[in-house]
Amino acid sequence: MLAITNGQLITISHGTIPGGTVLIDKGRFLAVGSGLRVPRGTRILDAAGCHVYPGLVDAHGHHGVYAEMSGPEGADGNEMTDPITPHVRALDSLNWFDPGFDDAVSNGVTTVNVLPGSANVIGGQGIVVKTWGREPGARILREPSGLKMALGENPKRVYGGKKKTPATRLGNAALMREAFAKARNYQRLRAQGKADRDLRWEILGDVLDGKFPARCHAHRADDILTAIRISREFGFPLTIEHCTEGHRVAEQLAEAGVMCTLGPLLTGKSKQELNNRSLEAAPALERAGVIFGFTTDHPVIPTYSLPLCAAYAVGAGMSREGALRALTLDAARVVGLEHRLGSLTAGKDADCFIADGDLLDPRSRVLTTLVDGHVAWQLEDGPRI
Amino acid sequence: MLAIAGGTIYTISDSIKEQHTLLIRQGRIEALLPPGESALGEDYQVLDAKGKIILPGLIDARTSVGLFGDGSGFQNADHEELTDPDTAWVRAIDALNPADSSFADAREAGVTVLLSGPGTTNVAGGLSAIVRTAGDTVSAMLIREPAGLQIGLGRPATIAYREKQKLRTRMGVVALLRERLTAARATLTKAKDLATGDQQEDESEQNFRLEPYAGLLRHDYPARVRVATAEDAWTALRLADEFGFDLVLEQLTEGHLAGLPEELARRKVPCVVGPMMKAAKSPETQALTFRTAAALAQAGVRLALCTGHPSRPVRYLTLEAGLAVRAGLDEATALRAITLNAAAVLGLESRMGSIEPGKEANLAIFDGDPLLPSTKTTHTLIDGRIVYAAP
Repeated sequence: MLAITNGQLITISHGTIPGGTVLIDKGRFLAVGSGLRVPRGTRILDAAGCHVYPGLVDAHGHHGVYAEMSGPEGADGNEMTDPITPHVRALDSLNWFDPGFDDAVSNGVTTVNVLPGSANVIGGQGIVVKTWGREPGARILREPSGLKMALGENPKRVYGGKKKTPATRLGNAALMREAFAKARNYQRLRAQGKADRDLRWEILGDVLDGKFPARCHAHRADDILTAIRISREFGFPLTIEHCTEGHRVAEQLAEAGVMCTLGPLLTGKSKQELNNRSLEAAPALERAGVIFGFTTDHPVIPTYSLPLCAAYAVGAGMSREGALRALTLDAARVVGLEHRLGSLTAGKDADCFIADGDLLDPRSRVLTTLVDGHVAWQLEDGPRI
Repeated sequence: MLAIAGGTIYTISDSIKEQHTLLIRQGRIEALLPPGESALGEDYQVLDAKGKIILPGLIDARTSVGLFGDGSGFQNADHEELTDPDTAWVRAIDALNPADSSFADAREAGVTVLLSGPGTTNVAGGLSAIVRTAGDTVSAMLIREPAGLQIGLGRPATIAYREKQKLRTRMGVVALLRERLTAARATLTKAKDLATGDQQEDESEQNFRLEPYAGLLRHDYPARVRVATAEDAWTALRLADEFGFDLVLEQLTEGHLAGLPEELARRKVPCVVGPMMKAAKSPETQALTFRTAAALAQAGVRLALCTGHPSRPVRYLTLEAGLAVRAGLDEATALRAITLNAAAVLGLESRMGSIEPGKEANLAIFDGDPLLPSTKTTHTLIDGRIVYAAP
């Protein structure tokens, strides 16, 4: 058993508790509150003067598939040989020992939804992992976590450059539609015993059956609407990834009940589809009632900058509470794990961290991070960044 | 004439002044009046700054603002002439677009002056310029040009030119510079001979392309050298010794290592650290840490911070300062690194960078702690003129 005592607990699920105690047992939160009795012999982490937050969730990253320090040899996130590769799995590219995971855990980010990149219209299957664990297998939370898809500039740049479809947004959407049409046919023939097993169409079939969502890269408002249109046409669950023009279509997103990831923020506008990206997207989505989690798109911006994105969103008018939720519980919802992650709540995975100040202040330092109830990282062992 | 009344004034050069009134006349800071001494003439327009924090206009000591077109893809990507590793003879002013939206972003963030130069891939990227962040034309924005010759040591050029068989190694990078500097030195000798009538004039293209190097040797402007590793920083010092040019070091990912803080302090080499918030680390940047700034400042190095826009957008200059504070830099030095020290690195400390009578009235007014992301700029002034006011 382990206890974090005397901390200001930002529970997310039930407000802020000053001078509270978090009791942890068998990798889970046993109790969270004030005035809790700590059993004799419990290891105590004193958080006096500090803030305690649930572990942050980066709802869309490329840790391990674009490993730090590994250059082209370690660039395993985009199987850029075919625009339709639903059968590839981020799991099979994942370098569990990517230093990017260490940077994450040392800054309070305990869970990441690792997705393939956006070069392909259908890029492959994602995986939700913890950023620390005793062994790789124990770090997997959800696989597949979704099917990565992409609209907009990236597929047309990659394939148009090779004089192959898609060379335009027309081609992007047509290939996406064609793939789902093929998957429907496959499902029918397979049910009739008339088709051999095909991993490509099987996975798309799982999306059509609602087992996990399609997670579609879309920055520009029209790309966001195209994704919603195609998902309605075929009836599959959808999240919008990036959503940086979300302020232009917030009402439509809310009406469609589509959840999003928002970001990466804080970057240069390196391509045209980012031209109208605005921090205003965060408050606009919040006002419309769209549930979203922030994404760093690591390594596009470093994973430890996740709370800084939320801090600037607050500057742009988002509520503090909403911004903290978008780093934790709402991000957990987006990746389908709100029952296990995202708040200091009894029964949930004991992922949390102690910081010496407000998470939304860039000067604050993370002192200790716990994953599954284990001390995964401590500042006293030496800073990482 | 303008009076900014009642704010908390971070003078940078002196103590913080509570509830003072700042007088501006003819584009310059006229006086700081303590509370109660508000003997204003009627011709002062008054800006109420009660509860606000007033800083000198922020200065970003290294960017490519206006050269790299924000959000326009390759159409306006004019920050790197990647056709040859030596493009010393290109000039930032010829690509600088005053209408680029990042100038508006800069004003909104309280950034009033910046160095804009070619990117860091080429060994010699070209001549940079120092500009104000407001103005319709380059000439209206311009403060100094050339501000320096932008040089890049280390890996980037060897990666960019590997396939073209132009450069493969650090040795090659340095040899290229040494060759150009040697040739430039010869042109200077020849110019002397010309002046004494010993030589015939020869206006070749080669001389045009060597002229930026000759400017370094004449001390017209410094070499602004981007280094990541400690090894490359020491190489820059060696080259500066060999050819006798003025040196500013930029980026300095490993500036905290290999005895550099002490050596850079001893030699009084100004340093521009940043951007620090970077992922996708390579072997060249694996030692990246927010602690570099503190290590250099503690050793006594004149330290400025930068965004390297578009590497990190110019509007996040204060974030670089905040991250440096997280890793041990004291807050006053962090603010100095984006004001007075940044001015010094650009050779402008007598004109700007602090709030004192006689200096140009470049100011950033915030509604709270300037290092908090949720803080908003309420007003930005350049030469006493309001160039941004919060809606």
